[in-house]
Amino acid sequence: MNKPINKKRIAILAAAVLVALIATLSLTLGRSGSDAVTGSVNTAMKPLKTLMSAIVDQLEDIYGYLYRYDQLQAENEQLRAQISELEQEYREYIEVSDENVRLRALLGLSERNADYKYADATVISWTSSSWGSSFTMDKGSAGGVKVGDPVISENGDLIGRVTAVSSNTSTVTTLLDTDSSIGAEDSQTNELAVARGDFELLKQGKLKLAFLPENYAVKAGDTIVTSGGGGTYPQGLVIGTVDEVVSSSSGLTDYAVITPSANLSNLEFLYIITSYNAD
Amino acid sequence: MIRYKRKFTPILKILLHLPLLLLAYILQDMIFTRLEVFGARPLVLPVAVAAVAMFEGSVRGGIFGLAAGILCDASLGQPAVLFTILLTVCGLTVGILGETVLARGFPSFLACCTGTLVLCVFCQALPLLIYAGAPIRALAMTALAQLVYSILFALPVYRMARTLSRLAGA
Repeated sequence: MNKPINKKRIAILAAAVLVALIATLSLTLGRSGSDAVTGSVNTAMKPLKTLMSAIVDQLEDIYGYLYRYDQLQAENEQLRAQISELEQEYREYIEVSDENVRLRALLGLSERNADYKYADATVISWTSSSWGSSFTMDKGSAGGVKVGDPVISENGDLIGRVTAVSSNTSTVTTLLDTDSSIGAEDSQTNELAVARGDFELLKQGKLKLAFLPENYAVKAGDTIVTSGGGGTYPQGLVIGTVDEVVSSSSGLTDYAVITPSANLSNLEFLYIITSYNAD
Repeated sequence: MIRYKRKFTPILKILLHLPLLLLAYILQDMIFTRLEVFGARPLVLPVAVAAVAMFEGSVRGGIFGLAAGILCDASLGQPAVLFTILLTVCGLTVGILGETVLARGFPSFLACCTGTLVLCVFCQALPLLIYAGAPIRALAMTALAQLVYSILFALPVYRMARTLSRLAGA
C-alpha cells in the first residue's frame, strides 16, 4: 500500500526549490551587473535619490559652513588681535627708538658737560601772541624748574629760557623773541657779540647777531654758541649758524643773521638745565 | 493760555555765557596758535567780550571782560594785568554804548569789536615799538594781519552771543 503524499512536505520542497532557483539566478545575473528588478527600482527611485542626495549635500554644506564660519570668525578675531598687538608693539618700538636716539644724544651732551643737571619736559601749548615767541612746558617748580633756566634740545641746541613758572608748568621764551638777549661767541673766530631777537627776523624764524666787534671776521656758515658771559647761559650751547652778514654804511650797526640750530617750529621733547657749573 | 517767560538770575545769566568764553579760549589758545596767517594769530576772546557786552550790558559785559581778560593774558603767556584790565574796560564801555547810544545790531557790534581789537593790537605793539625798536612797517603789517584774522570770528561769535542772550531773556 502506497503511502499518501504529504502535501506539507511537497510545499516545503517546492519552496526550497524556488528559493534555490532565485538564489542561483540572482548570483548568476548579479555577476553580470544587471538585475532587472534592482535596475527598475533604481531607475524609479533615481529622481528621489538625486533629490535626497542634493538635500543632504546642501545640509552637509550648511553644517560645514556653519562649523567653518565659527572657526573662521574665531581665526579672524585672533588675527585682528594679533595685528592690533603688533601695531601697538610697532608704535612702542618707534617711540622707544626715538627716545633712544634722543637719550643717546643727551648722553653725549652729558658726557661733554658732566656738571649739567637736566629735567625733561614736553611742550603743551604755544602762545597765541603774534608779537613774540614763547610756549608752555609740562614741568614747573615741582619738577625743579625755576625762572632763568636754559632750555635745550637733546643735541645741546639752545631753545630759550624759562621766564615764568607755576607748580606744574613753565613758560619758555625762545631765543627768537624780542625779549631774548644772549651773550654769543663765533666758534670759528672766537669773537664775542650778542644774539638777540628781532621783530622782523622773528617772522622768518631767525635772530640777529648784534654788537659785532670792530674789524669783525664773522662770516656766513660760522657756528654761533653761547659765550657763558653773564652767567645766564652755560658756555658752548649752540645757538645757530650765520646766514649772512648785513653791513651798514657806517659799519657801526653791522649785524649777522642767524638761523637757529634747533627746529623751533617743531618742538616736542626738551631738556631744562636746572643747574650747571658757571665757572 | 498763559506763557511764562523763563527768568534767569544775574549769576545764571553770566554762567550761561561760559560756553562762549570757553569756546573762544579754546579757539584762541589751542587751535589757532599754530595756524599763523602772515605771521599773525587771531584774538578771539576780545571779539567775544564785545559781543557779550553789546547784548548783556555794562555790568555783565565788564564781568565777562574780566574773565576773558584773565584767560587772554594766560593765553598770551603773560601776567594777568594788561588784557585783564583792557578787556574789563572794553566790556564796560561796549556795554554802556549798547545801553545808551548804539542799536544792538551787527553793524554796531562790528564797530565795537574792531575798536576793541585795535586797542588790543595797539597795546601789544607799543612796547615793541618803544623798547625793542621794531620797525613801524613790520609792526603795522602784523597788526593789520591780526586785526583782519580776528574779525573773521566776528559773525559766528555775534550769532552765538545773540542766541545765548535770547536764551537768558535779556
